[in-house]
Amino acid sequence: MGRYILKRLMTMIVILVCAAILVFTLMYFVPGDPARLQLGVDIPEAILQAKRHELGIDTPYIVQLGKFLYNAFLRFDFGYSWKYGVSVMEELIVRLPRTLMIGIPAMILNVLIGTVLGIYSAIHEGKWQDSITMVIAMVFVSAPNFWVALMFILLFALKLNWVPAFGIENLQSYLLPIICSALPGIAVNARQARSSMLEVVRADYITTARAKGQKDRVIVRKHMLPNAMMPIITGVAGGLCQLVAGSPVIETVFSIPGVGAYMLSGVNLRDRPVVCGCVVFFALFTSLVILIMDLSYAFLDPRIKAQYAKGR
Amino acid sequence: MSEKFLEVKDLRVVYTQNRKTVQAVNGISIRLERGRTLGLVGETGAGKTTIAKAIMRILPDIAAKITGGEIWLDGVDILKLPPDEMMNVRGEKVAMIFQDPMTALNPLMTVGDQILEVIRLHDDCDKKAGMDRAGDMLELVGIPRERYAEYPHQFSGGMKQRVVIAMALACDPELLLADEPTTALDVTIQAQVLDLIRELKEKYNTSMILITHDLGVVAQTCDDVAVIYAGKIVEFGKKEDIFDHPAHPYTIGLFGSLPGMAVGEKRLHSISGLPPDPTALPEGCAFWPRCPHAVEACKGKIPTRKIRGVHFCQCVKEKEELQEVYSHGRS
Repeated sequence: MGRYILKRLMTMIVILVCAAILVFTLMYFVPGDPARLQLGVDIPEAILQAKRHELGIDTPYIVQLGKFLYNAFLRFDFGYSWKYGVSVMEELIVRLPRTLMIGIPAMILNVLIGTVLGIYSAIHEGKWQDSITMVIAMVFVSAPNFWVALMFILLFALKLNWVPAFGIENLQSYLLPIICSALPGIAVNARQARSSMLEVVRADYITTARAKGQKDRVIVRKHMLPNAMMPIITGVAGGLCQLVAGSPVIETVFSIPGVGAYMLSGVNLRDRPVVCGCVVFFALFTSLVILIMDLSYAFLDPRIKAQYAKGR
Repeated sequence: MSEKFLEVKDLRVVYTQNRKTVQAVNGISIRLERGRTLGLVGETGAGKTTIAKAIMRILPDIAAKITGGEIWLDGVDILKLPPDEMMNVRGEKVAMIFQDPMTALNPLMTVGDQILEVIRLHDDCDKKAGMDRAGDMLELVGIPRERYAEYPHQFSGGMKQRVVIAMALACDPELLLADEPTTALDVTIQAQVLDLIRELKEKYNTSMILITHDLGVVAQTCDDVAVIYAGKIVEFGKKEDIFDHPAHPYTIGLFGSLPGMAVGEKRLHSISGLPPDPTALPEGCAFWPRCPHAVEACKGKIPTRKIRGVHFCQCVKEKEELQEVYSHGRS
């Protein structure tokens, strides 16, 4: 098991380096002169040149890339924002809790409500309870969440005045963003949970359990749920990655200064250190979540545990 | 001495699929005495498993429906029992051995715990005593009790089937429904498993319904045989009756399709045609479209002919004719 985790961590580093090279290269070749973007159009060439030197972009691509990778992976430093001159790493550390304040509760809601709805729907397969749940889920899977967010702001913030429309002044202001980010995940997870429960319902070992004289409620909890759990976990983990990486939209709508909004501003200003820092950070977060997810499989399924033990 | 223990009267089951009605069981009647073994023989799709699941009342709720008949077990019509009382019957009075040991066990539970589950459902015992008994059951079917905490994937197919058998026998059921218990196993293991079932059955004087399409298994294990075709019993009798004097053309066809031990036969005989579409069964005898002796009367009402003792056959032909058919069919 330990060997397996070590192997996975090594792979993760390779993936992170690849992601870093990719995003750096993309940002490098994006058209537009960073110096001109910062200072304006009618600036004498000499000043522009000085600015370029200051930003460290007057050296060849390969030198810049090497410097970036060295700083990012060995000194955990993504440099300073070109626009604001603030350390990207420090800014990320300040902003991360705000993003997680939305992401983690949204994920918890997703697991609790989504899974329960899916199981409920599967148990009532083909009946009206199932149809209603699935229609609602379909609506929230399809509705873009920035639109849902705007509608919610209209209703709950402007009309009913229950919660603030934007900002992070108090805890209530996180309420709407959390709900708006959770809704699509809940809907996706409900559909996933339903279909994986239905797959398990038809399994022979469920018939075996019924033949033993076991109660339906216990069959659901003891036999069906553990067997249906794996696709559900996959969905939830994927959902969490999406919540964090997809935070730019919700953070922009609700004006929350989180990691997502930071990355978006970086993209708009061609602020390469900011974009690279955010992307590498997202990649790290996603890899960690996936690693934890894979390890959790081993605790659910003895067959997978046996595979991991072999170091595969 | 012998008492009527299980009596199924005119059982009818239909499946509904895409608004089509599949007539799976069409008026089956079975009687079984304590300690005896009845073989249900027939092709795939003849409705054998459906009969067993109907007796357990574990047919899938949505698709299947019992449309008629009674199932009397030890003086109680179990089709009329409320669901919670039926739970006490399942696993304790009636137990089932399933067809495919590869999928019949929950992959995420240790085999011991799966046996423990049925023990604790029906016997009032604490966990420790239950685990002891589950260990005993494992040893009974020839698995060392040290393997209690292993998972199904660590067992071979034959071993898994032993676990399934241990689970079925854990609460000393009075009726055992064995649904093709050896089909998924290779021939050497088949013999072992059959011996094991027979041994345990004799030890506890259990009645058994053995579902199979393997006539060799029937010969080894059963007392009585019911031949099923398209959800109906076409012929019933003692094992000797059926094996030595098959009467119904379908039964004869079945035996005819066994490889003979004698002179070098190059090809196996088969019954021409396919089993009828269960959504549209032919009028009268369901076998007439494939029957080499079919006459116009086959499309009408089919009489039940008594041949000898308990040996019955559903065919329009007279008893003498049927015997003749027999000698004819073999030549």
